[in-house]
Amino acid sequence: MTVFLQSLINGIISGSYYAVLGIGLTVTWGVLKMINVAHGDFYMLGAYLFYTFSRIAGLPVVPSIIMGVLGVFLVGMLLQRGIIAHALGREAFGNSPFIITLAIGIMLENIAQIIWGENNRGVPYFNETVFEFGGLTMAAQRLIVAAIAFATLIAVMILIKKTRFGWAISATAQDRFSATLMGINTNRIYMVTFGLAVALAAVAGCILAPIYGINPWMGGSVQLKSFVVCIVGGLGSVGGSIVAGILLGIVESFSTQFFGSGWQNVIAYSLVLVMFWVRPEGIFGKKH
Amino acid sequence: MLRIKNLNAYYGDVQVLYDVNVEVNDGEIVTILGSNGAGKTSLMKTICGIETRRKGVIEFNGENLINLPAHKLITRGITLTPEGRHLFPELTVRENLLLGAYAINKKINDTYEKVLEMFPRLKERLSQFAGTMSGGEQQMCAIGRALMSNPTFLMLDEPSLGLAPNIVEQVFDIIKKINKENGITVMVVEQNANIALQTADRAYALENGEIKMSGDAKDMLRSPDIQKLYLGL
Ligand SMILES: Nc1ncnc2c1ncn2[C@@H]1O[C@H](COP(=O)(O)OP(=O)(O)OP(=O)(O)O)[C@@H](O)[C@H]1O
Ligand SMILES: [Mg+2]
Repeated sequence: MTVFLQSLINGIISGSYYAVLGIGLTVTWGVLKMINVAHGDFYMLGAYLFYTFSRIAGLPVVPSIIMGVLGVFLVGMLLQRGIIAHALGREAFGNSPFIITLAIGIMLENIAQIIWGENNRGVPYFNETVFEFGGLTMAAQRLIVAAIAFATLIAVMILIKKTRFGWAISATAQDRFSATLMGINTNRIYMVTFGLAVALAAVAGCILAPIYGINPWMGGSVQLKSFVVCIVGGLGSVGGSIVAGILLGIVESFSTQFFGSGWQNVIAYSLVLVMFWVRPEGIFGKKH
Repeated sequence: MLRIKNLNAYYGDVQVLYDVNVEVNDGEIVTILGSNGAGKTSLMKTICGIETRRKGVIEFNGENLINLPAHKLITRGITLTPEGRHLFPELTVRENLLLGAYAINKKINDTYEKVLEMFPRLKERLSQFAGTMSGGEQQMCAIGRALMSNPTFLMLDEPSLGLAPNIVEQVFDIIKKINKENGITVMVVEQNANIALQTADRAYALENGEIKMSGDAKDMLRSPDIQKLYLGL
């Protein structure tokens, strides 16, 4: 029972940040109609910026996270406006967000390597406490991660469902032409949405940095996980990503518990294959 | 009100409109006729500044709109209900209507009430997803949404598309009403030349991206060329 509960809690905690990562990717898909294979690299950039502000500039944790996330938000908007929008507007590039974001990802990894080097960087836990009760152990850091992740998810839901800006995002996602007619500057929506989406990856990067460490290639596995969440949840579905993220976290956690950590990824990706087979549009996706 | 002079438009390098000249006076209903692929929708989009590259003059109440970004158009009092309606399918009727006033900073309660009064059908379906309504209801919603910004100039692209004849008549009755009672100037693109000419004050015939004919709608209705081309007589 304790083992079960421990796995469940671990799963929900990982699931919470998988959801944050997945939402970023799914919103990019839903609004900009493009895939972003550099999502994991913005996660990496967020972690490095956090490291820079907290370890090098010596700022406290919270301002460092805020600055890190804000930094990635700005970089994301700049890249969308400066590179992605232009490249996608050109005939010669065909319609290949895949190639463009792949290039951006490689660029970010190389820049990180030049600035921060190849060696692993670390940041200390926000809080070193480890809680124990009834046989369960839980590092405070993990609880902080889950708390920030869930708070982020709630903030995103409120932004999308309740604000005027969120309305404009939904309208643009559903019909860009009509949204323009309604007076919505859809170019701006594209830019800000892309910035927000990669800022979500940065949130995860900042809060996970103490646990997993930082290096230029840390985005790779995160990219794959984000895809899994997106596909299982249904591309473009925010609610689906939350459910799928938590589901992925729980499945991974239990498979690690019962089959060993070697099987963790196999089982996660089997989830995607099963999904393609039984419900290709994802849990919350719509049939076309 | 609207004066279009020597308007040329292109999709990439392909030209779609050639030196188009169209005038719409205050309070008029003007219709643009044309067969499939004539460039009617392209003309509408070009006036809005969407998709095409454009050259020429689009003068609206004295202001040249040729360099105005598309999303600013609504602030000048111009709206378009596009071909195929383009509602937000996964938003409710209510949300669709409210988005129609997205760019308007003033209080919109009165306008909202007026629109619902004009379209009682919509009032019954406020919380239904727009994408699940019938074609006629969707057209009403699209027109209602366009009216939410209190436009002075309303463009409609094939409002009769895919609708049963009696619904088409309803739609054109509403267009007349909007024009007469609300004083909104209307430009309507139609393939259903018969009803369009009966509704409009003046008409233009667009073929292969050029204006081929223009005149009083009643005269056009009797013109042998128009009868042959658009009325199937
Ligand atoms: N996005 C586009 N890119 C390239 N060519 C286009 C595009 N949209 C329309 N065209 C072409 O421009 C021409 C005019 O099309 P348009 O849609 O304006 O015609 P229309 O008069 O509205 O026709 P319909 O009555 O069928 O709606 C056609 O030859 C069409 O193929
Ligand atoms: Mg058309």
